[in-house]
Amino acid sequence: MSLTKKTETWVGQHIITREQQQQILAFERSHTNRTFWITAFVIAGILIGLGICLLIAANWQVLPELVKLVGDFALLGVLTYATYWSMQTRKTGLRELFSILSFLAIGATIGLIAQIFHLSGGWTNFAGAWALLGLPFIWLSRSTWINLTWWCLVLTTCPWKHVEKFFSYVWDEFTCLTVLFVIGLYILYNLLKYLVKRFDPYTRLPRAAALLLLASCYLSIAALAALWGLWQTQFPTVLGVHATVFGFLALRLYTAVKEQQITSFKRNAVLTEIYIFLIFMFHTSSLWLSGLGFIGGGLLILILIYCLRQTTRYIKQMEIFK
Amino acid sequence: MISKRLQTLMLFLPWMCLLGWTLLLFCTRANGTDVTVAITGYDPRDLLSGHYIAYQPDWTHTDCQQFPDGNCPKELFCKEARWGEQCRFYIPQTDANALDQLFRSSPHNLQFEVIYSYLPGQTPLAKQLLINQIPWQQYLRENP
Repeated sequence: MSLTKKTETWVGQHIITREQQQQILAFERSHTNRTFWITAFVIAGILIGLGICLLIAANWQVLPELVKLVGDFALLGVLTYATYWSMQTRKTGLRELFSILSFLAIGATIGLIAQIFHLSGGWTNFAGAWALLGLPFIWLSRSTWINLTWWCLVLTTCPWKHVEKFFSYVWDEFTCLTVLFVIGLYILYNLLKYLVKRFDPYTRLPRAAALLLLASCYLSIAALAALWGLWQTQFPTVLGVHATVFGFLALRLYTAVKEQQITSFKRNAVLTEIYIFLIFMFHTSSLWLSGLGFIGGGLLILILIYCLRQTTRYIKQMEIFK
Repeated sequence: MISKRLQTLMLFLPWMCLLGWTLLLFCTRANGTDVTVAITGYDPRDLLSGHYIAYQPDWTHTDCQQFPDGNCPKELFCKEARWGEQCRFYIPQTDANALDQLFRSSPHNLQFEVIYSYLPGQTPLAKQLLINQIPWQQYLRENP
């Protein structure tokens, strides 16, 4: 039920006055773009991080080992202090930005040390060390992005060989199982959604795990689409990919409209846009191969953010959610 | 609610751990004795994987007398490597192709070795890659 409808009911039940209803709605409207801005901060953070990486990478060979290490530790120190400062001053957007950058910088530092000292540990060691050292950020930052990334790191350290064998067997019978797979995912998705709702919002890790599983439903659809031949150029296979992905998203949008769930509708509409954006990116992938192209790519992301913002604004005005 | 001091400590803990680890590696590398170990490609078709050389120590062509007790401490080398027990030596991206071609064009005429910093009981740290007894950078400069 939308907030307008809810508050209307409350006014009808004499729980709040008409004036209070207006105040609540005005407050909600003034805070509607908070998530958007946090997302924008996250993307800006990743872009800045990548920009710094590019800058360092371009001059990598001429830098002595000590300079690389001192520079890296200085950067990590500054980012950690910035995270601490943003936590103390309660600046939500900046806290998100600096936490993510600090978390990424920890991974980069481990990689740099491994490179300088020629350590032979593989991904498992790297991901394990990163996950372990990133633990304080899980607890303190309350960032869903860091939580999910942390879980991904932990999951990749697990022995997945046997799971992989099982799935490779299933993939062999892929065509016949596609429909069952999508139906199964849809049921799983709703079950997980129910579980997420049941979690206390402050129990971050189990909630993050459930959210990760929810996201994995979408990832599974993407994987399924990839098996249809996402990276191939033949028209029928590409059509199959898009039919699978858009079909799933359309199903989610339809359910959201039917149940008048604005959040779900917004999320799936945004995912649809991102998917369209990815198709566009895939067809213009050569853009990303040069420095200038990278800037162009950054601008494309900004355009995407603008489109997403407009979409979410428009969705909030839609009559079906009134 | 976590106290301010604890919050600071927790946030800076990764930084301190990483710094401690780096210093430990620096000390190990600085205080160790240099030993030269002959190496062989883990898989001859893929000596260069990405921007590092994947290799295995070739103990049959290594002089074990350079170690304190005259025995090659095989179990200490590349202890942290799990996947196929291959060791790694990182090289800059721009030189990767040249080194790869060098290996492919004349694999039998070249002798690859790695200088390690060795401290008894600790994992040795790779310091330099040698091609025919000279540092690989110098070798590439002299044999373009």
